[in-house]
Amino acid sequence: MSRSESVFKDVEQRYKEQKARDVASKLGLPVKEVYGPHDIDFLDYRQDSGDPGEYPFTRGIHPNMYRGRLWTMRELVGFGTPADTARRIKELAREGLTGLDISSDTCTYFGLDTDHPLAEGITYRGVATSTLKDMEVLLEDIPLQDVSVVFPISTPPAAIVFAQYVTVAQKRGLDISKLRGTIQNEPLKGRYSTFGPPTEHFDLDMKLAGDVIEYCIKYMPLWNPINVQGACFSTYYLTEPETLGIVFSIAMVHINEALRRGLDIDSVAPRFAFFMSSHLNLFEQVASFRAARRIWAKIIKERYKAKSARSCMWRFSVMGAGHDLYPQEVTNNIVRITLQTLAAVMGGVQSIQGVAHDEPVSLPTRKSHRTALRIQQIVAFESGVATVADPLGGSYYVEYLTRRTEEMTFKMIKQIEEKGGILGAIESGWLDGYLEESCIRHQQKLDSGEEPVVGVNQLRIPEENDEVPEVHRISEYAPLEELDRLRETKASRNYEKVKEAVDILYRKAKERKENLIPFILEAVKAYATTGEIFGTIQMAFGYDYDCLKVLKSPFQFA
Amino acid sequence: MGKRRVLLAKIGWDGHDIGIRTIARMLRDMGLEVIYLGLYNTAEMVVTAAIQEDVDVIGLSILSGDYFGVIRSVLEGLKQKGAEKIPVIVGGVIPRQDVPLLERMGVKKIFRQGASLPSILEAINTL
Repeated sequence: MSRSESVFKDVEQRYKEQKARDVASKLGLPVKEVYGPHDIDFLDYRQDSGDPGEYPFTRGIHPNMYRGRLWTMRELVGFGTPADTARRIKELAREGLTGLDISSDTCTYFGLDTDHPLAEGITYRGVATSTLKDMEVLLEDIPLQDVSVVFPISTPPAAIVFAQYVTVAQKRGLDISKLRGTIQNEPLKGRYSTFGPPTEHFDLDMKLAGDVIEYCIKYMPLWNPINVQGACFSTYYLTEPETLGIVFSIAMVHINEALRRGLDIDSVAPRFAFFMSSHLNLFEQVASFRAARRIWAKIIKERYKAKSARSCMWRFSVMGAGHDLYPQEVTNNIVRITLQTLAAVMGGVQSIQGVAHDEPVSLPTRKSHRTALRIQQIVAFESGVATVADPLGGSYYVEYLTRRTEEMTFKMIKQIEEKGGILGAIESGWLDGYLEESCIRHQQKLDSGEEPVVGVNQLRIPEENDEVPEVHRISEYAPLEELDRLRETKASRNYEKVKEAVDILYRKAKERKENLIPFILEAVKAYATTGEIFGTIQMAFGYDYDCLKVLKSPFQFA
Repeated sequence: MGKRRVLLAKIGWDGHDIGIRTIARMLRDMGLEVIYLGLYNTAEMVVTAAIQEDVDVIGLSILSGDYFGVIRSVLEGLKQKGAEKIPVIVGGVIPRQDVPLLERMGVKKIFRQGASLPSILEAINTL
């Protein structure tokens, strides 16, 4: 047979053999060929769905959803110096952003400064804010009173980054009660998010997380003080119910802590926001977001006896799942991201942190960052998908998937409870093992082709025929500039004021009676560094000043 | 020939360990001797352990963007200790345009997302 004949024999064979799979992809649920009214006999519209904006909010948290306002369009930015990051933010702002999203660097994630002797990865991923000066440069041109800013950083350093942001606003004379934005501030996922500090001190973590929440309840009603993260758990290739089960278990720990402090459920619950991955398995993903709204509403109303409808509204933002994307034929990822975006929009998301298609290869280039934004915009303005709230509501298949997701999520929550709650599940190593098994199963499915990925484990072209995508490079001078600025800031600050502020912070952190945020704010204002502030709090809790055990505290505490 | 011995490690502050943990488990399940150093190692720790444990292959996982620095430090460390014969393979986020330079520096093979376990196993068994 000639080569040409064999190629077309393949065409013929594929034509005959290609058929849709019989599982709802990641849920792994065998699903029927078609769903009909009898499959959703259980559905009581008022009880199970409600209209959008009505308990249990399955169909969306607002009556008119995107006709009232589109989801906030964000792109995560963070690299090089604060000025580099600010420049890219401004470029994207011109291209259509409606909110900002700033990534902190590894040093900041560790609660350390860029001049730490072992510091590395400075400016490679995220932007460092070792002092207030960095944050001032970063936010220089941004009208904080008008624009919403998200900082996706975990506790403990979240408390400091939050304080740096608030201090910039205060120095500008702004009314902080009008500030809009989010600080991620969730510590329990630290070990799973791959960016947590190398130590875990739950007592310190929970104290700071709770302090940020409490402070915002009191002073910043428009700010999201916690963004419980499901996205990092999704990266272990979990199913939606597994991710949701973990997410809600974590949320409950923080709710319980807030209640323990004497706060009221109706003050606390509305302050919780969630950050999830959106995957390209469209119907399952939409069903998952719908189920999540119903589940949260039920938990808040039935378990916590909330009285206000606002408490029962599940507010969430998404980023497209990076693990859905691959470096082979990188432009294919634009399609994957589009499907992820569709799923999020039809699932009623409040904010989307877009993903660039070259994510598996590098930080976004100027061009790919723009394309990421365009994906959101094309879905918003050209597809018509946002015009009607919950467009898949009433679909026999999607209502069936929503109910199944809900059932399986409650099972997962129960399973976690049996392991001692999420804390017990983490401390015993059970959750680690669970996630590891999930990864292994996925790799096996990838290797066997059971989970098909076009251009990767099927239909793969030789590497030499594949385009070589442009890579975003960081200037080699950026780290030096960072270090210069830090040195200057430390040299020119009033060291007496730093010592005073740090001293008070130490005492208050040791006493653990008061909210620490006001004292962190004072230290930030005096230009105490991130490392100095975090180190001081660590010492007050009985831990090493430096989690890497190299530096000793420069301060003498009584 | 005894069990193939492979050392798996991440260097520096890079905390992305899903890939390396999955590979470690799967290789172990396939009967290899896996010396798993995990996170937060220095190049020196990796080189020392590799020599002490008499490994057949060193596998590094790099998702921080700092692959040149990490790879250079390990290759130089091995050279200093006269152990440059130990092959080094790398998994992670590494742009294709940088692969030729890394291979010239001495990396034997680079694996990216979507790499199959059989291909990684083959590299370990034949290098």
